[in-house]
Amino acid sequence: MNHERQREILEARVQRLEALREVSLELTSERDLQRLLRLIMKRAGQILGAERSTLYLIEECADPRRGKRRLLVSQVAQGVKEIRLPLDETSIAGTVALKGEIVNLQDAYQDRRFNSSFDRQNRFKTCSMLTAPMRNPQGQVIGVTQVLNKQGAVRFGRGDEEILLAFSSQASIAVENARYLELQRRTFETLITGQAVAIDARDHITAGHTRRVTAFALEIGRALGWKGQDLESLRYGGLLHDQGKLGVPDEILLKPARLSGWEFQVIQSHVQKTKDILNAVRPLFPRKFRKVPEIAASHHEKLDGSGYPDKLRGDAISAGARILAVADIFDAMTALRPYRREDPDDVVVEILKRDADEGRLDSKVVDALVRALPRIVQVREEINEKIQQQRDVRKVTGKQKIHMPVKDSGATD
Amino acid sequence: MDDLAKRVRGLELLLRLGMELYSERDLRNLLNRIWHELTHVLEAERSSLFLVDEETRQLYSIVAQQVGEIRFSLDEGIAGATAATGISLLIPDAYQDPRFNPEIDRRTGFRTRSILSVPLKNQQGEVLGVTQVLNRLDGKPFDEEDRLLLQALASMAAVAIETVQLYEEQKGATEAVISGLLMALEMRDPRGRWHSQEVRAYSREMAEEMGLAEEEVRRIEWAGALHDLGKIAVSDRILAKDAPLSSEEQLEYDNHAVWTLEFLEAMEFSGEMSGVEAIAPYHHKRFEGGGFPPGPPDGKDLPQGSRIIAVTDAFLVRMSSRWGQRPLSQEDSLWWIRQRSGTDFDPAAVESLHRLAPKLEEIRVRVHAAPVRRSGHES
Repeated sequence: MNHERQREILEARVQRLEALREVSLELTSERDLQRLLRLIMKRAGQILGAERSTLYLIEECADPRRGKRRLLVSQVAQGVKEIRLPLDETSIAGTVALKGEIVNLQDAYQDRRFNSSFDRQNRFKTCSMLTAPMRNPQGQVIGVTQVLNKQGAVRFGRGDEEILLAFSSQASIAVENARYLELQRRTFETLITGQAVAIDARDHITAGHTRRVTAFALEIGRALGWKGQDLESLRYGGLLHDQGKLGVPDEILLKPARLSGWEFQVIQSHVQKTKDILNAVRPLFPRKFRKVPEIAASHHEKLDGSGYPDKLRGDAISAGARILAVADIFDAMTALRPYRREDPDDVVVEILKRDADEGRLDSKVVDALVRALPRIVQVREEINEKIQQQRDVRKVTGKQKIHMPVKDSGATD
Repeated sequence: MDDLAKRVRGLELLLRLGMELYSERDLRNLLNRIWHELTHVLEAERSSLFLVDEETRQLYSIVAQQVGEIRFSLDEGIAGATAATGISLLIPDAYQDPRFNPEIDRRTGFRTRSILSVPLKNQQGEVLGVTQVLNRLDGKPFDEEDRLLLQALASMAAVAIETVQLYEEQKGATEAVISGLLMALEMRDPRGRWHSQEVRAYSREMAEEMGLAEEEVRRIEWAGALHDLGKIAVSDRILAKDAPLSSEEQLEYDNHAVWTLEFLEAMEFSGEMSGVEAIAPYHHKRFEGGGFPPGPPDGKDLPQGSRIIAVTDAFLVRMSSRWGQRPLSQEDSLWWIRQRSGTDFDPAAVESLHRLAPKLEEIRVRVHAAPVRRSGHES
């Protein structure tokens, strides 16, 4: 081989690899999963000189006849509507998903597993075809990438296989990233929301307090122009703010009368308990929610240092905790309690304003509550209605549950 | 020609990283191998990769050739400057640069000359770490070509590292909320302190011992943790009582399983927690039928997880003092369980518990040593 020819080969290789390098940089800057997958397949198609490229992911689909099934669903299919394929040997993509091995065909029509119906529907003619599995870090196949019709050659080569595998790997990392994030968000969400429901279930006197305080805090936050992650943290802080109340004995928590000084101290201790719990678990909180424990545990602190449990002052109290403080007082005073009538909203607003003037509450937060008041009144009604409905349901179903005969409870405990 | 060949080698390395990310499960190992070759490709003396430790505000090495883990403050040296600015740096002579920290050279006995330092950024542009290549062998400073290659490797590695971190974080988030919930539950029921965590750990061990798939083991572990969630709704008059319960009190107590069902059904679980609501509430159902809550699933339709938790729960309760009951020794509690094998309890689960007997004390000690622990078996 002469020098010139060798150089040409090297240069061609550099060109393709350069494209791959550029793509890897481009990929890290794209945050939207669907756009990212489109980009990956577009670049894969360009670098491999393919006429078309497709990416399938394995999804659980509801099938009216057979219940849940795992199917390959196309995410990025150029010029074609969504394609769904079973995970079996009735198509090349299905085979690759099933076996987890790359398939490189010179002529798809020569392979009995090839499903030509999509060609017919789309007036396309598939010739050469390269299909690679996408694997997650646990090694499971999560999808398939496929490129069709190598331009300027009869088939895809060994080098093409490597490159498509590299793209598949990038795509699966992106998909896994997005899935983990979604899963994390959902699990965290449902556990915290469910917990708030459980806390409210015990304390029927203040039924719905947790949910109302959270909703009010969010309205105040929005009136202050808060968005995104800040609002999310505020919401979780609200849902967790009374967690420690689970440690307050029934006789005090559920007392249908004004509390004695000692009893009030016990009630106050719930904030310290909330704090102890949240401090213990804080290191495991997702990075972006690390502020949540502080927000939840400081909702009884006052700007002038007269609050509890730590008598924090001014800047030591986060904006989230200040919002929660106002939302908490507003609900405590406007909700019906056994030992006193609820106060009208306007009276409570005046009290809050006075507290702000005297330096205990944040006046910006109180002003925001005033601005958000119409919305707050509305969400309060919605939540209370929902709680009433749940109570009605429980009256019906709860009766059956509670009065069922319990025999044979040898395994009791 | 040499330059071209070097470029090809660099780009091929990039391609290999892209391909192997896909099959290698030990990311640290993979990065060590790739960075080892990188040192040769870039004709340099050493290369390293540091990650940011958010808690301590430090950088620590996961790839450091010929030395152990290096750890230093996030605002130290060229690596610190790279992390702080998120911009890569080409330093021709480290000792001429005021940002350079010679301390690490002193510690490792290495002599740094030229440095190429590149940040690892995630998709949000946050800096996850820094990678460096040190001392180009030909004595020249690193060039633009070197930087482009290292940047490409860094961006691929960053995506992979973030995936691993997200996975760990997701496990941590679930653990955080559940541990918090259990701590709150224990405050309601001080005598049940540790009970949920013990049931959780024993149920996990049993599910594993019985050869269930890891996914199912995890699900049973979570169900074990949450089986008594409904006790939140039981009055503490009952939970704290020192004498046997009246039949009416027993009824309210038994109802905690219904509350567990209600609370768990209100949650919408996905991933490895999906299905816990079908296991946890049935830990008081009997193997041959009956128990509470009444109704399906019953007897042989009971999920295996419920049967496992029924055994671990009853075993642990026998060993505790509640309602004036004298606590049994481990042997007596095991005997008590075996007496009811085939009636109250699934014989397969009972036998598994007996096989685990020599390990039970050790598991209990482990649970008590770490009230908030990372989930899974390894830690």
